[in-house]
Amino acid sequence: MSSRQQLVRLAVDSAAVLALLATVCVSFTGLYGGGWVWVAGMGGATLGVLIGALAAWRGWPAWMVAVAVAAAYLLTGSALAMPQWSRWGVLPTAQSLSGLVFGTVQAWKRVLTIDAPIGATDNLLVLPLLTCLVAGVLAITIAARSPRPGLAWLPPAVALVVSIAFGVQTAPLAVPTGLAFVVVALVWTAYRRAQQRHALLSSTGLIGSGALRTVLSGAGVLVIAALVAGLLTPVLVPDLRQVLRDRVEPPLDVRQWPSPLQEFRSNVKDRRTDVLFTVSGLPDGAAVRLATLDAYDGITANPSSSVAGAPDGGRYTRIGTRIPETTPGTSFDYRVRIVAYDDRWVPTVGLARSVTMDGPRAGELTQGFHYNRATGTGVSLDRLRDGDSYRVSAVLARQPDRSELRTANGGALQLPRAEPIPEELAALARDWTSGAGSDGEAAIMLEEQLRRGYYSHGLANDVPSLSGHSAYRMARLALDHDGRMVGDEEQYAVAMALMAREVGLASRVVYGFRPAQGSTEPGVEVPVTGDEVSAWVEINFEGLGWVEFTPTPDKSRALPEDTTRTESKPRPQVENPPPPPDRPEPLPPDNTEPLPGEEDPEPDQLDWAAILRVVAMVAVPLAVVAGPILAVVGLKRRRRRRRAGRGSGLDRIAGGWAELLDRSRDLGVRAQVRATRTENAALLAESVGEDQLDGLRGLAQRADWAAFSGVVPGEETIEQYWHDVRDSSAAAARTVPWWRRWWAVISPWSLIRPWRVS
Amino acid sequence: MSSTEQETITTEQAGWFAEAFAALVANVGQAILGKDHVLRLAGTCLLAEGHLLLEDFPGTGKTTLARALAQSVQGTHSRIQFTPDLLPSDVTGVTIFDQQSQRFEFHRGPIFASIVLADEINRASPKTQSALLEVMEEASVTVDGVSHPVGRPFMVIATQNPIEQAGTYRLPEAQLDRFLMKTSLGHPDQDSAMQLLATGRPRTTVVSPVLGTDAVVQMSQLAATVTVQPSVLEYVTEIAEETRRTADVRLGVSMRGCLALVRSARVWAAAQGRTFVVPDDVKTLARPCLTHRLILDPESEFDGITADEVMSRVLQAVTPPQLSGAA
Repeated sequence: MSSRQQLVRLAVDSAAVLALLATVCVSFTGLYGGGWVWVAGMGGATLGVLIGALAAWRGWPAWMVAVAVAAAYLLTGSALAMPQWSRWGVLPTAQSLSGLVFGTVQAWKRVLTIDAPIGATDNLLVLPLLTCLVAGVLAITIAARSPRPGLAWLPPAVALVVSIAFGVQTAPLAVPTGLAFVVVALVWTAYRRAQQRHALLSSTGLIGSGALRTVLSGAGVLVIAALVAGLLTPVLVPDLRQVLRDRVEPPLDVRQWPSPLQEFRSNVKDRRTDVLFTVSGLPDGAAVRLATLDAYDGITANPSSSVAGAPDGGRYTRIGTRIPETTPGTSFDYRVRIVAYDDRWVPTVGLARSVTMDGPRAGELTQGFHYNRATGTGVSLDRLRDGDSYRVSAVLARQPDRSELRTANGGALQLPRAEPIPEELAALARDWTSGAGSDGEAAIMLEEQLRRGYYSHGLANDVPSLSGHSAYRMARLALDHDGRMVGDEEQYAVAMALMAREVGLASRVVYGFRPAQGSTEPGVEVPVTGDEVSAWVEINFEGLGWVEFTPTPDKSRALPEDTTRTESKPRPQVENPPPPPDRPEPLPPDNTEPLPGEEDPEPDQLDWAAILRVVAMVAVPLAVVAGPILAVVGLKRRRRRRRAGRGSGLDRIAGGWAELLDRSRDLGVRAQVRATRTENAALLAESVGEDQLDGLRGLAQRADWAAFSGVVPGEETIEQYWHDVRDSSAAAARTVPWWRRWWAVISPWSLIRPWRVS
Repeated sequence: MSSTEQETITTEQAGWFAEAFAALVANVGQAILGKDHVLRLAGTCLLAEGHLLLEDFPGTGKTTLARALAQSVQGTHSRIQFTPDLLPSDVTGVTIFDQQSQRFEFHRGPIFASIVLADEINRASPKTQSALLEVMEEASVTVDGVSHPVGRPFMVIATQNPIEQAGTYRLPEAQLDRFLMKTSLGHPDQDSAMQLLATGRPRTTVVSPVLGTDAVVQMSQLAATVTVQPSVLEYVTEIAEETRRTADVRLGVSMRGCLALVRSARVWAAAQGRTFVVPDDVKTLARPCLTHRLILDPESEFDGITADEVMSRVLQAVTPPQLSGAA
């Protein structure tokens, strides 16, 4: 087959593969909602086709194709799939490269767990990019290099199946897309078969039949079949198709709901005497937990869920009949009956071993119940309401006494971030714990110091006290009232949790209720009212687990009246604090409002962090692009020096010849391993010009002379030889276009497979 | 120029060798136009003290080449036309009783010449062929227990016709091994054909001796001192081994074949003014020196595979050395 025919065949193959992968992009469009998915998908397809064609042309081994695919993915993936993270939308950055690498593993799952259309955020476009890239390479490789080119449509078919499986149930263009795929695949396969038959007939001397006519007639039949199928499909095929996302359950993200702690004050304000729920079987002194809040963003304390890098925050998952809870403690059973309580957070006591829903909505509640084993918190997707009830088998973990605590070390857990911590609180925390001999002692000190504050809900007859627990409120806790703290459980619990974090302890806030007394007698229901709302702190210690702390002063500790009046006057603006947002978003540290007392950085002071960030943003992409190039150039230079300077005179001259062949290889002229030097000289001359044959042959003969004459070449001879090698290489380089010369300089091929002198 | 006592050929001697060789080839080239490579092979064969088998179609100049080469050397030459009724004694000579001297006297046959042209060797009976091949190997004729050396230089140029099979006796493979090289001339190119037609007379008439027998012997001795590095010798053995490993070959190249190749390569190197053999010499001479020694597998032969193809594959499979390989 002539090279022109091969080129035509490769062009047809490439066009067919691109057409097939275009249908894959159409299929992906329903999932992503259009737009950039075409750039990612067709960009990947084009890259794949180019790599496949280049590999077929140059006869690359499989590993080299794989390396090329990986390199292309990393170099172009930022622009194609993550332009928002790329430098100028094109150059890779550390963030985009990280997204591409992790996207190969994570994007598949994330695509399934986000409601469609999922858009082009983060690294979600890795899926179409990677699918089309790999399918393109494989399809062209099968078409051009395998003994069964007729199967080249298989990789795009797999890609189409992937796009459908990861797609959505309803796809308006599903039928036309599938038909287009089948038509292109069949026409392509028919064309390839006709080509093969034509070649066979020609080689046997028979007259070839018209391949074009065959293809056209086949295509006509297919078009008719497509029309018929297109008319019948809406009748025969169901509206919704089965896709993977139907089977995948997204992890429950409880952060989609407002922080439950924001409701704290409304309990004492609006539902003070209302019975929210009743608990039967409640041990005396046990607290009812609603939510465990181990994250803090400066506005609210939040429950963590599926936060990257914080595995100890736990996840909310559905549970079976039993929860494998092995924490030692007192086992007990209790039953909760909901009365006026109306929320998703399920009141629990201790750590549950099993939860059984009762009542008329038992089925729904069981279906929607999620439990976080790490925090002992339950959540119902359907809000609990009057009439709901459930039974829980639980264990109440033993709480260590103070003497045990004083020798305990803090546990090493990875919890979500809790910042910003107001400097006033942080300074107090450091000050109060400066004399602590252990982590346990530090925690006790914090608790004791906080309990010296004053209690107030800030209601009409109380000492003024702001509601909420934002960073501003926390700072005011330490500043207002002349440094005497005033607040209720909400403020004290959050304050202690933040202060504990400041001194390196793993802390979290627990929001719930503390009934005045419990009762384990059968049939006795302990009513829980809004007045019994509470919040406390849990700190983790090595060997002890989570230990409860109650930093809130006694309710009887009210600030004297005269002091409160003088203190409240200068700050009237605190009377109307802004209401907390429904769904707080974590603020980046830079956007956080400066806290009172926080000093602005001096204007003339260099912001080294910013400078480093800018330098990194420039240097990383630059290193990604320039690093390999510099490495290749450096390695070639090192090799050249070694060849010219190391070993005997014979080795150095043989090295000169090897250098000439390697440079020629980088120019695209490959010498034959099983050819003699003179034969290779003729081979090179065929490519770089017959006028250079004498020079090249002369170099070959001189290398042969050095190798086989037994005469040791002198220094002058060696230097002259290397000089002539450089001249000859330069002359060869002049015969190719400028861009090929530059490519030869940075081409790694001669490093990957250098000419070996044996 | 004496070189018999020295170990290796000098550059000057190699230069003289190359000039003399070029003169010989040019001289023969007056009779055979446009076949420089074959003429160089024939010259190499002569100076390597081997024998040449020319296999070609009728009318391609086999006999002309043999006669021109014979005439280029200032020695005796003879021609034996092989026929089915040719007897061994017609080649080697015969012992006759002399009535006058009352003694048996040996009458030398045509084999006693510096260059012997054995025309259409495959027409003679195997018995006669064997007689010739024995002389080729031992460079002497033994009759009635008496050995008669044929002298130096001694070269047999045999020709055979590959297409006429009726009434011929194909040379056994073992005996083919006695020939240093086997080659063919082929038809002349357009220019040479035009020149030949324009002249219209036998071109051997223009050939006159350019080398004496002493010079030929001296050149042979010089060629034997050309340096061959161990890596090149290894290259030769690898080629031989590869022929033995090849599936299409029943019997590969023998040690005699390797020796023949090295001997030829030495002459070939000296003929180019070199004092050392390079892998190119080996690769160039491998086909004429080794191909006729390959005995192909009958099935492969039946499939149309030729010894030339096998040798091409072998040469493509073996990597030539790049260094001397000396310790």
